[in-house]
Amino acid sequence: MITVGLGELAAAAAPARLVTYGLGSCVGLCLYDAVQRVGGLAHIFLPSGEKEREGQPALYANTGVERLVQAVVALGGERRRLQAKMVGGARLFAHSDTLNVGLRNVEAVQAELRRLEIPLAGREVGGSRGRSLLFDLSDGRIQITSGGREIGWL
Amino acid sequence: MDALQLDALREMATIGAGNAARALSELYGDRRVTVRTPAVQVVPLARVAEAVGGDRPVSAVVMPVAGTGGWMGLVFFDDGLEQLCRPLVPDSEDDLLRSGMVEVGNITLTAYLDALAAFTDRPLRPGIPELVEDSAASLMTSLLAAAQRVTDVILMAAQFELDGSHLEGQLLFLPEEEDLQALLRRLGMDL
Repeated sequence: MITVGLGELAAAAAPARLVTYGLGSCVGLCLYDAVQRVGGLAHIFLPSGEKEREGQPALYANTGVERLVQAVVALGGERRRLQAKMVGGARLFAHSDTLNVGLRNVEAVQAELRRLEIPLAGREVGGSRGRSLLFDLSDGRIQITSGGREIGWL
Repeated sequence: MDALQLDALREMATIGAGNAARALSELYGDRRVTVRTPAVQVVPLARVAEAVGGDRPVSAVVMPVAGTGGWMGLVFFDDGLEQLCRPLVPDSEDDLLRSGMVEVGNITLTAYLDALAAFTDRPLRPGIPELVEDSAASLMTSLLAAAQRVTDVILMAAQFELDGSHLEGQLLFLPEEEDLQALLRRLGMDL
């Protein structure tokens, strides 16, 4: 199992599993090529930004989404076959989070997917609770947990 | 940060702890409360979710630093914060308990913020506190995103002793860039 941390991304082939924790306002973006059975996961932190950090290529939606695509393609994924699924973008601080970063992250990732012409095959976003996800590259399914309990699949 | 700088940060945290203990003592009436900050660490962004406990459930009070983009948080594992507040709400009414939790967090965070303001000579004021219950990692990443924080994070262990029982929380400090620079200058660091 490969763990993807805040601002990180990873691409792998079946039967690898990719996992990320702490998707509060962050968005976990999964890309999958069902024929080649390769894919990738990025833990996106903010909608956009300029300050790059070594080892965290997926901090911002405006650069991270494309880098994830490149990583999956480098492993043999066919760009035209890629399908996306996204999880997260919650708002944990109901009263004091005036920026609503979660919502802005969701919008920014979706805008990038449209720009790159990658279809969105599923999403589990919003709400007020954090989530974690496990992405199984054997079949492209994503298990979503919250509060330690499974809450759904994509 | 080197040892001297961490020591200076610990000194500031000690002042904050002292403020918090005094203020909490008033809240707790005749119960004895002490607060200590025995450990301070600076953690890189990528590792901070793990450092605060990953998927473990936490209760936290978070507070924006008014007039800036900075945030602070006081985080306890499981029901640590609730335990800290039980003596204040003996009849265990849920709503009152939650109010108590916010208030204890508010007082503690304000006390540390006051110490930081004095230390850096910056006009830092407490914003509206909020109670959040989630996983440590989700809380942490959301707090970092709200603070638009992409650099290292200052974590301080906060030990509370109340009537002989010990409870340990973590104080998270995410000042905005200018306030962080003032703090680092005060500690003798260059950026």
